[in-house]
Amino acid sequence: MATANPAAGPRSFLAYRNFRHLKVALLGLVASTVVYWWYDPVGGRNGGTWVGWGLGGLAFTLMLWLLYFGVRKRDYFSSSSSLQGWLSAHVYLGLSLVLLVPLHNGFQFGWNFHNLAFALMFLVVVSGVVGIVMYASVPGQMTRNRRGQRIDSLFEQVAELDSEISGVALALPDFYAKAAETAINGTKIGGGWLRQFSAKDPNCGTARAIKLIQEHQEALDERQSSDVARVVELLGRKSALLQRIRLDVRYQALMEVWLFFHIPLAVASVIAVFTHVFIVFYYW
Amino acid sequence: MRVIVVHKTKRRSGRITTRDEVLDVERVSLGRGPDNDIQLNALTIEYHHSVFRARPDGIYLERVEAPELEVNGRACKERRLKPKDRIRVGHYQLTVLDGEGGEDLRVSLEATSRRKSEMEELASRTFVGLSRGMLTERKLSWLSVFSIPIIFAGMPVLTGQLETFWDTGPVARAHSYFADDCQKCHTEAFTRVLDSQCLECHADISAHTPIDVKVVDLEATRCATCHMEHNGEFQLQALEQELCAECHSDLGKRAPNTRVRTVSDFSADHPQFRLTVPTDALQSENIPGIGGRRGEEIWTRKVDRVEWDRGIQEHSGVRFNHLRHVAREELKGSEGKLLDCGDCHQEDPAGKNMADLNFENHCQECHSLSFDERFDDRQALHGEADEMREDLLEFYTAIELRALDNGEERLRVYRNRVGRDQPQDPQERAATENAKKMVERASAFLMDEDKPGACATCHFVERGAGDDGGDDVAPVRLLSLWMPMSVFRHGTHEPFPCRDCHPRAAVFDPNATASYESEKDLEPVARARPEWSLPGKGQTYALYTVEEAIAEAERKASRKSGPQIPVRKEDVVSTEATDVLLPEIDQCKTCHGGGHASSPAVASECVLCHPFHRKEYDRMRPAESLPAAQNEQNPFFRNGAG
Repeated sequence: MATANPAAGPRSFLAYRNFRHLKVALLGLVASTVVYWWYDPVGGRNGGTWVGWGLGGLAFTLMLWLLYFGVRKRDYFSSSSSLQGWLSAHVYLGLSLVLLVPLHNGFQFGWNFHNLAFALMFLVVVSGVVGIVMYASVPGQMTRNRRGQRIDSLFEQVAELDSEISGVALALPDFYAKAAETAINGTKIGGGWLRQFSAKDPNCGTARAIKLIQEHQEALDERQSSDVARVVELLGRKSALLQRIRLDVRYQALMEVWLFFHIPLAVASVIAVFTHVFIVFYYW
Repeated sequence: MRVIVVHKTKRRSGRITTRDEVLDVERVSLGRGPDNDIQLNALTIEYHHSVFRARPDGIYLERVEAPELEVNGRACKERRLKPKDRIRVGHYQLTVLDGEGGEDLRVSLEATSRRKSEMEELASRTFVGLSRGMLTERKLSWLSVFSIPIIFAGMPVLTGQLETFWDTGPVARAHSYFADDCQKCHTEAFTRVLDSQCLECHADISAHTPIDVKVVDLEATRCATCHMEHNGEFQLQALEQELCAECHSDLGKRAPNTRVRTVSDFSADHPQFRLTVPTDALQSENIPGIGGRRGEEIWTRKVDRVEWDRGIQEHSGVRFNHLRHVAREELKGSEGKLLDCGDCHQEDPAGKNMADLNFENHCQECHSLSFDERFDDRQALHGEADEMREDLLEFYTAIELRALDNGEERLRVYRNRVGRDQPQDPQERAATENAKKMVERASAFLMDEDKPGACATCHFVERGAGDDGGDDVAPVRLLSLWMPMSVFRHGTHEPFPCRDCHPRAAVFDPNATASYESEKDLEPVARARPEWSLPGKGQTYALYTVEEAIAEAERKASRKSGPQIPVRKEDVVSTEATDVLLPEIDQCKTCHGGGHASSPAVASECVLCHPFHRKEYDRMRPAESLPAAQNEQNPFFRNGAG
């Protein structure tokens, strides 16, 4: 039955079992909308009616279930159903909240605590959508960038280059040795969020070393000249490798960053909804 | 110079292996460069760092390219070496050892720290992944767990609006002055707002039914069922007609004795209007049996409710002809203004209904009550006929007596004897007798129905009906509120001209003749319609011509099904005070639709016209005061409707 290839990225979980969970979510929304239209209470449709409570309860239950995904995805030994199916359901049912909650509150919005809960929930969904977009677009770019190589291999190549540069530069005059030292010890990969997302290091030791050597004038014998040329060539190769590694770091960060919003906001929205339910019935 | 270098290497197992190197040179050079005697593999070490050199007083370490040397942790330019000196170059350490004989200098060379592989070095400078300090998904989640209650409690304090941050929606404006005091209504936690909290302020709010009609469903309904707070700034009243229709759509079955008619929707099944009128002021040839229907004591007067009908006549005791008044050139007021609707029909100051009409404000300016051509500026009293004659008697007596005045003192004391308190002076007696005759003459003039006598212009004269045995006018019962069971505000309908709803009263006919003999000497002045009476924007008092009125009536009639009756002039023009000029329900329906109507019809729920709380009935009682058993059993009526 499974039409999707597990290795085919987000397309696989979105189309899981021929969009089974999309259909479930749409069916739920259509049913909720029908109930919403059918029930026209005194004072207009709002959260404080039987249908309002029903849809609100459904939405809250759904939110708790969606939060449970964080537990479920770590349970590698569960046999209840595949994680891919869970993710598919997580995405479609999570998206359905965007309509389900306004049906609950009768599209009444305002600047108050109750709508903070909605706003948080909405941001969770938005960050989740961002996540889907990232999972859809980034891995392809990542693979192209790595050109079939593992990331460890790229790091090993840089280390080998460092070793080679060091070996050649030992026998060169002090200036070149210092430049080589800068190229090795002054080169950092990653760093803060900004550094990782920019995929650039304006203070990159390798780039600085290339610049230093190119601008330097010194009388050298023939062997030394050929060594310097060798060092520059090695530094160039290292620079190209670093560019690919840094891009890879950016891609990893893009794959990861939405979770820094998705998870804390999801927790916050569940707490906010709980508080919302409490306050609504406290001041019934 | 002979130098032995002991190379120490620390193996991974922790064991240290040594290898001796014997150097027999003039001086021993140290540095990064391959031409050094002791090569130190580190890019940070100078190409030619320093040298060991023999001097007469011992072996020295001298710098070459190194800016300075470090021996025993101290910086120096050069130093004579002695055993146990520790020389540091980069991450290498050379230690001067005790001589074993045969050499000039014996030093050990070792790396102080194990040199890391390039891969390890690179890893130590690599920071990938977004988790940093507080910036981890878990810590941020915990932060949000705690921040939500802080926002929940803190925002009200921060914004200064205590507790309104917790509102589910805006509080109605009428309640906004205590909107930040939740406990005003929400007295108990996890309990719905009690009616008694509403009634604390709204103590006088009245019930929907008379006290003897108990509708259990209604009594068990909370205030908040229809009045939902936190649901918008302006709408505190439930408009849904289904609330009314729950009972009123089959009221006949629920309460067989009620005279309130069954209805569920204004457009679908609202019956024709009924007029609430005093039973002695109305005659109808079209409604059989109306005389026998005397009924409920709702108002202080005896009233009946009769179906609106074209044939209804009002016998108010007043003569009036709209056609002869509206925009008549010959009836120009003192300010030269032609009469329009608003000259007589004005809203009462409260803006609820039309103000009562009365002689002093609406008639007297034109209708003089002068009774004697010799005293043109003198007016008869408007009121009871006997009082009017009493007033006339005083007037004429004073005139007669003044005529006798010859300058002597006229006041005299009469002896207080029955039958004797008459003026003794024959002249005076004659004067008072004359005054009485003058009164009779004036009264006869005022009450004359054949000539334009002042009273008979508007009133019906009843001969000998006065308290003093003289003539009187028929009693007047002008009704200003015909449909008290609904609320209608002329003010909110102000953009529409009067003629839209009262077409028969708003007709201009320059050739209209008087309907009464007494008016016949007022010759009509034929003129074109004044500009304000032409139909157009903002012309509240626009008038029809007779032809237009007929055309309009025909147009309206053609919309109705059934046989078409030709429209006559007397059907569209009001010339008699007996004409009832109130609009029928179809007139309202030209704009107003049912509760669910949409544009262009005006959606009109029951409460648009019929207030739920009826002032004439008893006060509301809180729903929670009903005995619990009654709430559960919930029969519709506790006893039959009255």
